[in-house]
Formats: sequence, C-alpha cells, structure tokens
Amino acid sequence: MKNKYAKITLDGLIFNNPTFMLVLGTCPTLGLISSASSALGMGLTVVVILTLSNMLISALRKVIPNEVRIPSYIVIIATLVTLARMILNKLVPDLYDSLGGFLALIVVNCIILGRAEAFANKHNVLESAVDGLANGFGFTFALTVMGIICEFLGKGSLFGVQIMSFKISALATPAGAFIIYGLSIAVFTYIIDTFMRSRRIRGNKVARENLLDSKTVDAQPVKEA
Amino acid sequence: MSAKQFFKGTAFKCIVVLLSILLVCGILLTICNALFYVSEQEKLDRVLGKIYGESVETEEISLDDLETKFNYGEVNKVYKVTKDGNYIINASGTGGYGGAITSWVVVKVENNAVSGVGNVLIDTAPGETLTSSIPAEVYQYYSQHYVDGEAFDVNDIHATGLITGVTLSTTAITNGVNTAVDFVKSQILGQSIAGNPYENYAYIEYIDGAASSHTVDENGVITYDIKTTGLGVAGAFELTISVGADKKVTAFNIDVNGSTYGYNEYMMPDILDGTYIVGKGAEDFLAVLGENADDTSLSQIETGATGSSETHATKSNFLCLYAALFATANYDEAYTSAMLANIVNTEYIEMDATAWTVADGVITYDIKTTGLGVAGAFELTISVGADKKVTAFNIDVNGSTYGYNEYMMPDILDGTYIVGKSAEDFLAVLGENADDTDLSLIETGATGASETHATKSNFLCLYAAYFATSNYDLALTIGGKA
Repeated sequence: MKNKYAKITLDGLIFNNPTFMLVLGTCPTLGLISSASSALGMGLTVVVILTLSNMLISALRKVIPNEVRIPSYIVIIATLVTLARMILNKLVPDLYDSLGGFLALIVVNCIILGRAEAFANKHNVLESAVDGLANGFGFTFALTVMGIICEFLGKGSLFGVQIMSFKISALATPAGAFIIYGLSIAVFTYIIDTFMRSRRIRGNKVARENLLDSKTVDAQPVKEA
Repeated sequence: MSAKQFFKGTAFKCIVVLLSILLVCGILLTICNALFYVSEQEKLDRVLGKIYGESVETEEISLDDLETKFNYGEVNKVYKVTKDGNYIINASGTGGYGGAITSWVVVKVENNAVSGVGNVLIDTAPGETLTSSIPAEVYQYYSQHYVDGEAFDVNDIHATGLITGVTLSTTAITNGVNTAVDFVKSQILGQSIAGNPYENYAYIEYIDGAASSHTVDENGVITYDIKTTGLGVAGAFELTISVGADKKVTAFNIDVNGSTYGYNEYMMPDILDGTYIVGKGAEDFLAVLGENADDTSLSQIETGATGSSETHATKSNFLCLYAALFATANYDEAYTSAMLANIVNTEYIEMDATAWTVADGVITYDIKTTGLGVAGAFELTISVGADKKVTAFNIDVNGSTYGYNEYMMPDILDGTYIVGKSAEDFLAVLGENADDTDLSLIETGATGASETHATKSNFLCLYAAYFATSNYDLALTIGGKA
C-alpha cells in the first residue's frame, strides 16, 4: 500500500513529469517562465485545481455516465478555474494580474484533463488526490526551475530582485523560453535515463549474483549422512 | 421508444447528471461571485495603493461633457487626487496584439500645466499574453522621459533596449499614456493639443496623422513629412515624400527607418532608395497593395509583387508603400488644405461652416461668422467680382440677439453700404489691423450711416465682407470649397 502511493508520487514528480517527460501544458510554460514568480504562482494554482478536480472527478466517477464524462470534466474544471480566478483576484491581485490570460486557459490545460481521463476516473479519491498533488508539484517544479533560469539569464533578476546587469533579453521571451524548455527536457531526460540505466545495471548485477549464489549452493556436494 | 424506456435509458441519465453538475457549479459560482466580488471602488483603492502607497482621497471627474476619444486611444475614467492635484486616468491605448490595453496613468499637474507622468499600471489587457514580460523599467520610462509637447514614441523605448518581443503591447500602453496626457491637457487644462488633420483622408490606417504634415509650393508640388504607425515588429517610419501636380511621386526619402532587429538591411533596395516609388501614382501602389489597401495581404509584397527580389522585411516595405499611397491618393485634399491654411482674416469666421463657389470670375461665398459678445453667428451670402469688390450682399441668418437686429445700420442690413467696396475700403473702416479693430469706429458713425447700438452685429457683417474680398485671389486658385 505504501509503495503504491510512493509510486504515484514519484511518477507525477519525476518519471512521468507532465512538463519534462510528457510535454504537456506547453502553452503556459512558454508564456510564463520568463518570470520565476509568475511561474511559481501558476504552478501552485495548477496544484490546487488539479488536486481538487482529480478528487471531484474520482468521487463522481461512478455517477457520471461514460458518454458524457468529457463535458462533465470540463464543467467541473472550468468551475474550479473560475473559482480560483475569483479568489486570486480578490486576495492576490498582483499574482492575478501577472498570470493574465493564462489563468483562464488552465481550463484547457492538458495536464488537468489528461489526469482526469487517465487516472482520476479509474482510481479512488485518495489516490487521485496524491496523483493531483504529485503532478501539480511536478509541473510547478518544472516551471519554477525554468522560470529561474529564464529570469536570471533574460532579465538578470530572481523573483523580481535584480541580481546582475548582464542579461540576454531574448531568453525572457517565448522564443527564448522555447530554447530553455528544450534544453531542460534534454538535461532532465539525460538524468532520468542515467539513473534508470544505473538502477537496471545494479538490478542485473544483484540478480546475477543471486543466480550465481544459488548455483554455488546447488553445486555443493551433499553431505553424506 | 416508450417514455418509460426513455426514463430508464442512458440518455436520460446523461441529461440528469450533466444538468445536476451544471446546477451545482452554477450555484457555487453564484455564491462565490458574491463573496469575492471586487467592486470598482476596491479596484480604485488598489490602484491608489500601488501609486501612492497609501489610501488617498479622490474626486471622480464626470466625462459627460468632455471629449474622450483621442488620436491614440480613449479615456474611460478620471479621478483627481485631492492631496496633490494630480489626475489618475484610466485610458485604453490602441495598437496592442489583441486590441487595446487599458492602463491607469498618473498625470502630474503643476501651475495649471502638465509637469510629467507618474506611475503607469496595466488595468486590463484582454488578448495580451506577454504583458508580464514587460520589465518594470518600461513603466518607469514614462515618468523619467516626459517632455512637454512631445508624445511618447515606442521606437524611443525600443531604442533603449528595454523591450524585446513585446512591441505591440508596449505600443498600446504608450498610446494609453499619450491619451491620458492629451486628455488632461485639452479637457482639464483647456490647452490645445495636436489633432489629426488627416482624419478624413483616405488610407490613414497606418499613418500617424498627428505627427505628419505637408506643404505645397507654387508649382503645386506637395511635400509631405509623414510618420507612419508601427506595424507588427516594424516600428514607425519617418518619410519625406513629394508629389507633383500630376499626382505622382517626385521624391522619396526615408528619414527614420523603423525596421527593428536589423531588418532594414533586408528591405527591398529599390524601396530603400526610392527608385521603385518615384514616378508612381496611387493606382500603381494600389495595384501592389491590393484592391483595398486597408486590408491588403502583406504576402503580395513578400512574394515579390513589387518586381523586386523577395524580402523578409515585409512590414517595413509595406509601410513605405502605404505612405506613398497615402501621399498620392490624397493629393487634392492635401493641396486644398495647404492652400486653405493661407486664407487670412479668419478670426471671426467659422471656416468649417464656410463655403464658396467660383463662376466666371465671380466668387459667391456662403459665410458663417463666429459669435461676438452678445451677437450670435451670422450667415451671409456675399459675392465678389473680378475687380475684387462686393457685387452682392445678403444676410441669410441674422445673429443679433435681444432684438438688436432692429438697431443695426440700415445700409448694412440691406447691403447698400457694402456692395461696391473692396478690402481696402473695409480695412479703412475696421482699422489698420482688422483683428484688433476698435469697434467704436463703427459706433461713432465711421460708416457714414447713423449711430447704432448693434456694434457687434455691424462689425461681423463688415468683417465677413472684408474676409471675402481680401481672400479673392486665393479662393479663386483653390477653385471652390464645400
């Protein structure tokens, strides 16, 4: 049971990271990673909406007929996004302003609809909540890391605080974000591949040793009584 | 399918489930909308908080009787800050990627004059996705670079290297700032601002009329100083284009090349040096730009429709060709307006409401005067012959108020005093400088008629006759005005 939640968490955060591994939610990624704080804000908003939508859809999965599941999901997600917009506009207007049109576009973010369709309608509420949190934080992690890189190199600042005067302005544009995004995917995939390969090698080694051990045991002469 | 089967079927279940979800969501959103509604006052308080760092007392200015549309955009709301007398303007600037961007702009006022621009904040930017990419330095630019009498130009901001890739959004914000400044100057402080003299001309979509001008020489050659708008990534071009009496371009020069990112190097060489443009007329440019130049397809240029090699500086080439089209297509209007600018003695004449026709060397004017003191506007028909003397005079609408028309001099009322007189005769009555005439000259019987108490009404009639006779030559050259 414990392993199940760990697997869901690791999948969402790392092995099936929605941004780096599945390349989902590209539109807000390219639009917002020029600012680390906007990227973080968008990521955290998606965490809340994704978790709640996963939980609601999972809770209603046995009630919603298969034929109308997509429109039902969209209505639920759109409601949650509208609620998030209202709350942010009221309580965090600066973040609301900086996210601009991308906030409303969360409705059609493929990560949210994708997790609803691929996971939440097949699993219970708790598992779906963990999946939502894991994927949301995976998305947030990716956006924030790239936001830090883009803002630092493109504007010479970090979270709005000016660090240096040198900057490559093009990296603070969507075109620059595309380059950073591509390089980040390459680096992340390389790290994961290396890790998986070493784990496979280690696993093979252990298996071989186990095999050798068992053969050695088999080869030992049976002690005569 | 029976009703019973329908109610037991999947279709009915789908309808019920979807409607239920919609109902619950609708109720939830209604409740939350009431809970989290952000009122206009709250929005204003937020803006004030950002601008002043504290809550300040404001007074809303009613826009009912004020002009709100300007060259660069429109004013939506205006507040006067009681504490320092500054104005906070909510203005929508045109030219953004998705249309207009609405910004809050602080316009500083000192000694009854605009002294600068304070903070600038984006209010709403529908259709824009890159406003978060605009660095804070751009907003500070307006407060640091205000020059009285000069509108902010996005090219200047571009030249500082502050923006890359958000040219259109920055253009819309800049236009909003310019609109706010123009509003305070013209509507609050009563100062004159540069209007758009070309607003009724054809092909003005990409022409910055307020920043353009033209003159005409004795040969009928019009020389335009044209500033275009920006178009996409291409900034505004400043061009000098001369158009001859045959309505064809005689000279073309790019004074300021608006191409960005070094794209000026990719422009067609024969547009850059003007060889493609000189000698062409409006029809030639229309043939390149398409039937409706306002909606032309830029690809026509990109695919080499100019006869030149292909280029990637499509928008820059387009702006140059469009400016040449504007210059040639509007030759008649520009010529007339340039000549009209030379008309003299217009202080008490409503030029927009004044027209004339020419027939056999006789000019018949339909003149509307301004009001003068208690006297209202007069509408007069005055004919001037080839000898530059009045041949006919009639008062169509008598502007005298309070029954003063009865006190007007009878020989002015029936025109007998005026007919047969020239500009010199009227000048002798009105004084050396007619614009500063001493009205007592008329009151004391300088016209040779009896004394009168309708001084101002008599003056307006004499002034109109003076206007008609003194501008005979120019009116004849222009050949009629509608």
